[in-house]
Parts: sequence; C-alpha cells; structure tokens
Amino acid sequence: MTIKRQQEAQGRLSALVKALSLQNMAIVYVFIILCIVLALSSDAFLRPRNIINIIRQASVVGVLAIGMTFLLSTAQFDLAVGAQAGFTGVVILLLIPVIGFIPALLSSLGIAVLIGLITGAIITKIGVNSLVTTLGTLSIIKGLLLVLTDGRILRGATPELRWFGSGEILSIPFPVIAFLGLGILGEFVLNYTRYGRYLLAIGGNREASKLAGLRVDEIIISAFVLSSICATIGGIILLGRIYSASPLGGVGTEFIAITAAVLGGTSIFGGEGSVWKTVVAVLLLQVLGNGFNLLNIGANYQELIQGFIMIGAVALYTYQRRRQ
Amino acid sequence: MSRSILEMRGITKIFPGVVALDEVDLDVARGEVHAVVGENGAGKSTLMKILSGAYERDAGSIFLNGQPADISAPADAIRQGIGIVYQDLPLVPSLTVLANIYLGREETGRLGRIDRARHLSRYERLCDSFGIYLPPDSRIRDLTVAERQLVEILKVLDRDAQVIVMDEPTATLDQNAKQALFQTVRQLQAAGKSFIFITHFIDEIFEIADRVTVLKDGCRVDTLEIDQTRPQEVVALMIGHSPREMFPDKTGAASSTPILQLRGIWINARIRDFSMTLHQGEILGLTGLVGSGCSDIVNLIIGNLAYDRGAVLLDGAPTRISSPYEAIKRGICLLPSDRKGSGLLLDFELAKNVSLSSIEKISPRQVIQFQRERRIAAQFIEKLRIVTPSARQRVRNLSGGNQQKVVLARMLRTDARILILDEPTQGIDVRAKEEIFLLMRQLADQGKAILFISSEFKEIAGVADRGIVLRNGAITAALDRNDISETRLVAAATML
Ligand SMILES: Nc1ncnc2c1ncn2[C@@H]1O[C@H](COP(=O)(O)OP(=O)(O)OP(=O)(O)O)[C@@H](O)[C@H]1O
Ligand SMILES: [Mg+2]
Repeated sequence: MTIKRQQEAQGRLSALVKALSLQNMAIVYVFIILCIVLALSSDAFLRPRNIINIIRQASVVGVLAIGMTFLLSTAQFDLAVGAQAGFTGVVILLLIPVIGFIPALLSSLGIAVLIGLITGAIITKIGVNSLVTTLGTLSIIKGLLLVLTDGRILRGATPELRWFGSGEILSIPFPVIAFLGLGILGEFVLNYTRYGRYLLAIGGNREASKLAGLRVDEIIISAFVLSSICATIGGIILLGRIYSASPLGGVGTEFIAITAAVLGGTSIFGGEGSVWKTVVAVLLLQVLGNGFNLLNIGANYQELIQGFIMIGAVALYTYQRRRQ
Repeated sequence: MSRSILEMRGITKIFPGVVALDEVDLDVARGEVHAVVGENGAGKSTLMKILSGAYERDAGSIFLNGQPADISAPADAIRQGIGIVYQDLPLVPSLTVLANIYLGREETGRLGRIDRARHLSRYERLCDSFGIYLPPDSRIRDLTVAERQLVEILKVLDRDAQVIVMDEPTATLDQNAKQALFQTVRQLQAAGKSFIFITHFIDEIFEIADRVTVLKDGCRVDTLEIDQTRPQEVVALMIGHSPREMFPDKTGAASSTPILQLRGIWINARIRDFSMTLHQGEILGLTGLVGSGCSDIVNLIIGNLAYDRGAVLLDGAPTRISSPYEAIKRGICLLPSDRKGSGLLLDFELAKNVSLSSIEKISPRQVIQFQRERRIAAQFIEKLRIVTPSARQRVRNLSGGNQQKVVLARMLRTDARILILDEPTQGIDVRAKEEIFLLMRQLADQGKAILFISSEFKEIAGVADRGIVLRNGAITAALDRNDISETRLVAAATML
C-alpha cells in the first residue's frame, strides 16, 4: 500500500520529468550547449546579424525538413524533395519569360501538388513502397532537370524573385519568416489538430487506423502533397537566394532534411513526430557549420561530425526507449 | 520441496505507478500442469516474463531443482530449461518449420552449408519421442495458429525445456484445436515435462491442470489442488466475491425491423451463398471453427473485402460499402479481433486510442481538446474498470485484457447503430466478460443491432438471441432463440 501511494506522488512529477528527460530533449540540450560554447569562444556568434544569417542559411533545408517530418510521422518518406526544390527553380525561370512572374510561381505550386498526388497515389493505391517510388521520382526529376536545362545553369532571377531570398518584413528576411513560420504552423498542425492526429495514428498502426474509420490512403497522399509543397517553397527561397537554377541545385538536401527530422526525435517508423524539434535540429546542423567557420576549423569536418551526432542522438533515443 | 522442479519465492515487480507483483510465490512439480489464473492486470504475464528473463525482478528468488537459478536474460532461462510459448508466436513467416525450429542454432557442414539431413533426423527424433507431427517443410505463413503454436512447442522441446510456459495459449484457438493442444500437453506431461498454463477459461483448468494458483492485484491469493476445488471457488478467489450468473437475460425483440441484410453472398470459393438478417435490438451470434469464413463475413460488411455475387441491404436498400471509413459513416463499427495488429496504436496513450474513431465529435473544430479527450477516457476507465495508472499510460504497457477494453471503449464512443464484435472477449477475465455481455445486452435494448462473432460456442449460446454457424464457407445451421444451445452449435460447426 505504501509503495502504491509513493508511486502515485511520483506519477504526477514524472510527467514533467519525462517531458524534460534526456530521451525527449537530447537534441535541444545539445543545441543549447553548442550555442553556449560558441558564444563563449567567439564574440561574433551572438550578434543579431549572425543569428539571422544562420537561420536564413538553414531555411531551405529547414522548410524541406518540416515537410519530411510530416511524412515520417505517417511512416513514409520522400527522397525526391531536394531535387524537386531545384526543379522548382528551373521551372520558374523557364516560365517567367513566357507567362509572367505570378503565373510562373503559381504553376510551380500547381506542379508540386501534382507531384505529391502522383507519388502518394502510387504508394497508397498501387502499394509500391516509398523507398522504391521516390527513388524513381528522384531519378525522373533529375532527368527532367537535365533535359530542361541541357546541363547549363539558368540565370535571370527578377527582382521580385530576389525578394524571396533577401526581402525583409520588419527587417526580418523572408526566408527566416517562412522557415520559422512554417515550423510553428507545422508543430501546431501535427500535434494539436485532428489532421495531425490522423497522420500520427496512421504512422502508429496503419491497419488499426483504417479499421477505426480513417481515410488512410487519402491522408497519406495529402502528406505527400504537403511535403511536395514544402519542397517547392524551399525551391523558391533557394532561387531567390542564389538568383540562378542549376541542374544539380537542391539535390542531396533531402538527406539533410531526413537527418534533421530524425535528430529531432521523429521516428522513421512513424507514429511520433515533432516539428519544433526538427527546427531545432536544422538549426543545430547549421550552427555547427557556422561555428566551424567562426572557429576556423574548416567546413571539411562538418559532415563527419554531423554523422556522429546523428548516430549518437538516435542511439540515445532508442536506448532509452528500449529500457522502458 | 525437492519434488518441485521450479520454485519462485517472494517475486516483486514494480512499474511506474503500478505494483504488478507483490511477493508472489509459485512452485511447480515435475510432470505437473500448473494453472495460473487471475483478473486482467493481476500480474500473470509479468510473473512469466520474470521467469523467462524478459523483465528484471525487483525482489525475490527463483530455484530450479532446488538450486538458486540466476535468470537475468532470456538466454539464461532457455539454458536452464525454461521454455516459453509466446502468444504472439514470433516465427519467421517466410521460412519453413524446420528452419524456424533451428533458427540461430543451425548445424552446419562444410563451407558453413546448413546440414539439412541432420536437422531432419533430429526433428524426426524429436517428433517421435513426443508423438507430435508437423510437415517439416511447410512454410509458417501457410500454417494455422494452432500449428504455429505447435512449432513453438517443438522449438522449446528441442532446447530441452523442462518447464513450459504457455500464456493464454487457447485464447486464439477454436474447440478442435484446443482439444488437440490438450492432447499434446498430456503426452508431454506423461514424458515428465511441467507446464505453467495461463487462461481465462476456468473450465479449461479443470480439464487439464493439476493445481491452480490464483493471483489478485499482484498478490498470490491461494494455490489449490484441482480435484479438491470447484470452478465457483476459483472464480470467487479471483474476483473476491462469489460469482454471479455469467449471461444476462435474453430480451432481444423477436420480430423487429431488419437493419442489415446479406443475401446470397459468394466470395470466390470461400463463402458460398451466405445470407443473414440483423435486426434492430438483437444480438446475432456468428460462429464456426477457424477458417470457416466468419472473418470474411466481417471484412465484407465493413467494406474491407469485395464479394463476387449477392447483395448487401442497409435499412432495406441495396448498398455497396467499399471501405471501413464508409462503414463508420453509415453507422457500422467493428471491434477487430486482433487487438495488437489491427486494433491498437500500441505506442499511443490510452486516451488517444479511445478517441480514435470519434475524435471529430470530441473536437468538433480541427484543434484537439486534450482535456476533454482525457476526461472521456477517464469515464471509460471507470466504467469498464480498466487497470491503468492514468489515461495517459501507453497502451503497450497495459495487460492484454485491459488493452481489449480500450478497443471496446473506442467502439462505444462512436454512435454506430450496427456493432460488429469480433471475438470481443479474447483475453478478458471472467468478471469483465460478464460486464461486457451485460453491456452488449444493454446496447441491444437501446436499439443497437449487434453481430457477435466468437469461436466460444458457450458464449454464443449464452448471449446471442439467434445464431448462425458457418463451416467451410457455408451455413450449416441457423438457430433461433428456442433452439440455440452449445451442443447444437458444436454439432453444426464440427459436423459430428
Ligand atoms: N511494461 C510495463 N510497464 C508498465 N506497466 C506494466 C508493464 N507490463 C505490465 N504492466 C502492468 O502490470 C500489471 C500486471 O500486468 P500483466 O500483464 O502481468 O497482467 P495479466 O495478469 O497478464 O493480465 P491479462 O489477463 O489482462 O493478460 C498491469 O496493471 C499492467 O498495466
Ligand atoms: Mg497477460
């Protein structure tokens, strides 16, 4: 009996302890520690300009990672989003001379929806798994990029376009607003709305969700559409920042996006996802690069260290969970 | 003392918020079948997981053949002759019986080639010595649940298990398979093997066990010799008072409005000319042995399986339901039989599992009302007496029977008019069963139409107003209130 009462008291406290536990918050603690270390070792680090810069540089990957977090939550993923971001730039640059700025922008979003629908439909209705399907779409998009650009870099970003890379609202750059704004919106949708609950439930147990009356296929397709739109927004920001579109632009960022989502504690087996921690993880990866520059370590080490952090963090999550 | 092969002394196990076991003792004699019974959450599975090394104990000791045994990992238990027949049967579906039995312990010849001939002769020797037989080259995925269980048993026998633990082995078996399992157990018992046998079917322990240990709320209440006790006494010890009548009165209206009708349904060669009518306010039982086609009928009604010929009528009008989503929209809700595979989100908290099918009602706008969600879950925890530290407990950490109640709560939250309960009492203790039957009757009295699928003929006979028996995809009996009885159901299902 006494043990029971003791346990009850512990139960109330344990909710808070659990929320702040290493298992849940490892990435946040690592991020904070890294920031403190950098702030102590370099005066430049905490300057507003540097901070804004870091967030701006992280924004393209960040927006992709937010979309990826949605997909991973439903136990899906998309390897084509990086290439799709690059593809967006090419499409817009090719279309602007023909149909004008706004229509070109809208078309790129339309194409994003279409790509998401098709990918999602192949995966749900036909049942091909997401690895195979998106390796396929990755190859197709890369191929299209080469065909459309003939292997050359396209230039000719208009001033309107540049605004998406460096325009400011209340002296905060648009990419920063888009990235953090989508992060807040994404966290809200994923963990506080019915739609988010459906995504997580399907990731947790697809069969059970189906029998419980969720429209599983449609919801998975919608996640692909969302991720595809994120990829396109990322592509627009990228175009606005580098003013040009190359046939290889964006390719490879999908892996950083997946890395960030997983670092943030989103399970690749679905059922669990946190957009805000994905955002923290994206920033962590960026700060790491920035710190290397500030400390003159050289960017060559970044991927190396990134790999260790990724495996270390995930090992920690997994180990703690298994011990429960 | 020395005749005990296994002794567990003062076993204590504490989970956050739960004392699962409180100084429990258990001893098992050589050649004995020792039953362990208790309500859902009493601690039966936890005790077995400690014996198997899957859980660490907080206190207590284990003796094998009178010697202290050090069991801190599953490998220790296996090495010391404890064999666990897991309920979820962890076998590799794509491999053969032989490959599964020797998985991880293959005998190899030159160049590391697997020596099939040696395996085969060892397998045959094993089968011969215990009088069991299964074709060694069948793939696991082609076997029935009962056969898979046999593979598990052979696996532990091959590792020379002396004490074989079976946690609710009969929960997923039909009558025939159950008898076959008991036959096997008796043969092995004669060969000197001991069994720990967990079940919620009290009559089974009187059929197979020598002694029974009763657990309640993590404590051992008593250990009784089977031939010196009666079922009522065991149940009284389990629930703490003398048992009531298991089945509520049948009040289903004899002639009311038909809600759901199936007419002349054919599915490939699996279902042949199936017809049934489900009326408002009644409980219709559907039963048969494994493979008889009951699950096809369930899947068909909720739109998970297409049919070739025939018609489905809802309120008298022909309908075509093509997904569970549509089924729920039309007021048809299913309680799936496989709670882990197709019922629960195991890593989600209890409250979220309860709300899954009714979240639109709990949160009419998109934003989820967490408080309300938990409050509703708390009501069900009380109403169905779910043993859990809180509504936020992960469902994975609940005992089997309590998990089943969570799925049930989800169904009750929807306001479906047609409830399909596929094995709703699987893994549920006697008291909860009684409560569920009562609840089913109350729901029927409120005007719901209930289709009750069960392989327990006794439960169908006790609860349903009418019964339909399937055998090999065809109806062999349609019994109405006056002639539904366990014997008739058995006869129709087995064609004896
Ligand atoms: N891993 C775990 N974490 C937390 N609590 C647990 C865990 N496993 C079991 N419990 C709790 O311990 C208690 C005993 O559970 P156990 O599974 O042993 O019950 P049981 O007697 O097998 O019940 P059932 O008949 O429903 O299978 C329950 O209250 C359960 O919620
Ligand atoms: Mg159990």
